[in-house]
Amino acid sequence: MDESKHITEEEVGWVLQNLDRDQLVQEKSAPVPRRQLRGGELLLVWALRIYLIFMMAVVLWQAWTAVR
Amino acid sequence: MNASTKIGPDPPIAVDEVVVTHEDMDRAYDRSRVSAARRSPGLRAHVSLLWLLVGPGILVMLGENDGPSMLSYAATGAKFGIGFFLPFVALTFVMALVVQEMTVRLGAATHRGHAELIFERFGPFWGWFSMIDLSLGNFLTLVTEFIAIRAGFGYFGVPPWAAVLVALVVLFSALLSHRYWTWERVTLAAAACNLVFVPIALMAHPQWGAIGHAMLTWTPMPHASQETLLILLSDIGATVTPWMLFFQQSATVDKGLTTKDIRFGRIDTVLGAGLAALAALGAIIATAPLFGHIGAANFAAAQFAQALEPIVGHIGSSLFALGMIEAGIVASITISTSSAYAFGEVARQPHSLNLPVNQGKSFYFVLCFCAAAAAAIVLIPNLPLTFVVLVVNVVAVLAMPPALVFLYLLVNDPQIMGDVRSPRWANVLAAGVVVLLTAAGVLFGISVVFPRAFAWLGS
Repeated sequence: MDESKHITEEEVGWVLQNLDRDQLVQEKSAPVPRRQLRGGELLLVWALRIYLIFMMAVVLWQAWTAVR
Repeated sequence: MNASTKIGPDPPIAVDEVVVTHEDMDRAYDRSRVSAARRSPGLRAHVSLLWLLVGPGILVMLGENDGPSMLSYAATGAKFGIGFFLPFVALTFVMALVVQEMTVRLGAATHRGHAELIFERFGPFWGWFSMIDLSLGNFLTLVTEFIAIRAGFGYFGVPPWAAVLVALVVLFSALLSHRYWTWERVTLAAAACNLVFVPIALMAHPQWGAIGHAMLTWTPMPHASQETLLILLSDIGATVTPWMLFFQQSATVDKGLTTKDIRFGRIDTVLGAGLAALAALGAIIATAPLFGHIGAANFAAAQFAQALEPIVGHIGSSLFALGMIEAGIVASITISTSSAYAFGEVARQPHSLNLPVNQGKSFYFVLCFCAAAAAAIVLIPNLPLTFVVLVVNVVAVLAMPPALVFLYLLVNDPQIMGDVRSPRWANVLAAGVVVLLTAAGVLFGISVVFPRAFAWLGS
């Protein structure tokens, strides 16, 4: 696409014909509304976060012993 | 409307409060071709529609058949021959399919990338955790891609600096068009070369009876040991990893897929999984004749190629080395793109392969910087590169359950998904994948902390 090209009314209409309104870069700049994690969900994401941190420590420990 | 307004970023065109950018124009052009194909009757139009809509699914699946993945499959064949791991690897691609289908729906319904949705929907606290997991995993994996490229070129006597330079030139060249469509087609053409592992498998004169028996009975079973578990985890990590979630969703958005295209997005993902499974099984079958003849210390691409030479000949072993180079280059393209998409989404900077360089400076900088830094690392002498290759897939498996829970929450969120939220059967399958991955990680942890537990099981 030539950046210096002039756009016409028709061309803007053509873009709107071919893209959903929420596909436009302009529309995507509006943030998605925030949602709070509830009890069970929060517990699960925390449990998996702790699991990941613990397991990464296990991998690092294994790496350390292997290198030594 | 003002017909004399100019297109471009400085400033973008404003017509009746609608702002159209260069990126929108390119995406609208791609979508106009899809609309034209959809309106046309007949089989030819249907095939044309499929051609226009496939891409992210095939790319993500063949991209994940990367350097460490192909080495993992080769090590599986050489260590365990034809048996349990053949159907097991096929199953891991079914798992990947279940997970990746959700990203297609999420991208098509929201037109937002994965990192962006986690940040905005659940807040920066969880967003940053996800970004740290992704960035660390992506960078480690990128390093292993250049290890594979270096090893593959090493088979032909190419020095390491020249090998990584060639890979970087290919990666940068794919970006030159500044069009998602062209980038996707160039990368797809390169990714198709991953199927080179199929003719190599045929050159190894496989025992079809043993393959059929293994696929039906999942036998012979390997002995329970820490090494078996490491290969098991490595094979899972070779198929399902966090970067795939971020990449396919962002690519689906960049390509401009909508909810009308979800069926084709699914076909794309199934095609990708099928082709990638074929290449993965090809690598296992090709190296199965090495069963009992190669040690754990020989699990490097060039050594596999050399070890295979008496079995598949010089052409076969050269193809194996070329396959490793291809796997590394395609994955380095897709993984660095996944990092750049995620960075742009979180930093709220323009992030699209449709952007010209002057509008997407930060996007292209992150993409090129990640690749160049990983390439530079593999040139540092005396780094334990083989160890990095073995560990990277394990890290991917460990990082998947937290990533999958966010995917699960998003894809079941009626506010953002509307009518295309996950059906019950998809949720059951996704939960099964999370349980399986977590169990594999816990078993790995037990095997490291209590190694005697596995010695006892194996006795």
